[in-house]
Amino acid sequence: MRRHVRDLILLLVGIGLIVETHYAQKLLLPLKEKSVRFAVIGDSGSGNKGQYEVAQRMLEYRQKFPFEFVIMLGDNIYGTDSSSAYTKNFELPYKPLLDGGVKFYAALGNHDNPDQRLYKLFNMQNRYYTYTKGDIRFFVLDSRYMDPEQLKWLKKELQSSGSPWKICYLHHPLYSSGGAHGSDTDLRGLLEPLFVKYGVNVVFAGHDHFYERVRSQKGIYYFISGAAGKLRRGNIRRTEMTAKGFDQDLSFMLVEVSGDELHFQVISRTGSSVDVGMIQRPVPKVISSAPN
Amino acid sequence: MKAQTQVCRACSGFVFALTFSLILLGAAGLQAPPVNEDSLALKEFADAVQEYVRLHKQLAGSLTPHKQSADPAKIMAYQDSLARKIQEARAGAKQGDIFTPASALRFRRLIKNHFQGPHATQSKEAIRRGDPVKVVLRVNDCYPKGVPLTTMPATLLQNLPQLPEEVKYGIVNKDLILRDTRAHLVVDFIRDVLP
Repeated sequence: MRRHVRDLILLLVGIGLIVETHYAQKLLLPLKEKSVRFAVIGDSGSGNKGQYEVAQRMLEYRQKFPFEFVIMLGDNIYGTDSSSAYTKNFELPYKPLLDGGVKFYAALGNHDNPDQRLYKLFNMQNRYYTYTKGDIRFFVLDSRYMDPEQLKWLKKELQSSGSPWKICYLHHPLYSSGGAHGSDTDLRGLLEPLFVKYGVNVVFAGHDHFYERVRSQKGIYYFISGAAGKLRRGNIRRTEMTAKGFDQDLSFMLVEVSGDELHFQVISRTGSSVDVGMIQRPVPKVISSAPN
Repeated sequence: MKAQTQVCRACSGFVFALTFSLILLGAAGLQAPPVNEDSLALKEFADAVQEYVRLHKQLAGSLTPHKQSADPAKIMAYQDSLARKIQEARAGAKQGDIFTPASALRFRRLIKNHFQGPHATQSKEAIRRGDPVKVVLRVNDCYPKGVPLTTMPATLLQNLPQLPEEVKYGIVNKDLILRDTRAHLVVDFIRDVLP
């Protein structure tokens, strides 16, 4: 009798979980034709159970939202630099995605061996680099070591980019409500003027192990997505700049860019939608050089 | 006549004094411009870095070229081989070989000025937020595996002499270190230079 009751409870719990997962895993992105689709993970390389679970959710969502690539916001491989760490903390959890032709583009974090730039599956040309996908030009920065040479390079690349969307990503956040780390104001003093001057639209960062969407700062949208493998539960100290925060579970982002719209959806380890929204690209200013 | 002779003597004395003064002035003009000890100290540092980079390149040249690979084991193997070669070649290396005493003094002053300047608070915060590490350092040792690299405050980097890609500054404890970026060796360091 007791066994039957137990089985019945387990069955009901199971059905409940299936129903919850079914409703929770709802794609809220428009899936427009010819849009650029990608996923965002930060601080992913822990090799723990949570990272594998997030990777599994990414795979499930890819069935509905076929993203072509993933941007990695640093701390890609935690722990000692060994061949097995690359396997356990990257190749295995994302194997189905890698096998499915998804490309990963990594930025370096403070826990990363700089030689990750030589690891083919991270598609890095250098410790900082740039690449284009459709209407988006990505600028991948090495925020651990922002020397004058990198700043000069960034200025040149931003200046010469004619892409409608300019997206930067780096490990250390310029704006963050994290209790443990928080905003890197030292770096912000150097980067923000360039971002503003050359029309960067969106910046993604990690380092703080949670998700946060920051209110537009000087016309730029900042996201922290540093919880794809590590979580600092309850670490967000909400301020006026916090538009949305989630520090209760691991998470990742899905992004779709189509025309002047960037749509995003944030998904937790359990598959539920944590945040969703759209950013409209402002109409570019026309600077007339013609004499009056 | 006597008066004439006195005038002549006075004139010749004046001419002699003038000539002597001119010679002295000329000699002074030929001397090297005043020595800027700071520039000399930084040049000493730059020369030592260049010498290290020459050695690094020479030893790296004897290995199979460092290329991208999908096999992390190959990347690690290259790093370890290069580290071993450099360690052997610099077996007698000691603290102060690159950050020479004169240049270390200059670095101390540069860093002290930075942390008394307008970016002091942000830079200290950048170090705190960049996960500071505490490790026992020895010149020519490998940077410990798995230990994160503390973030270098960006504004401080703008004030330090620029370095080639083979070496970078780093922070461990309160020390400024010079790290080989490919062999992951501690090339040199200055103790207790950070606040």
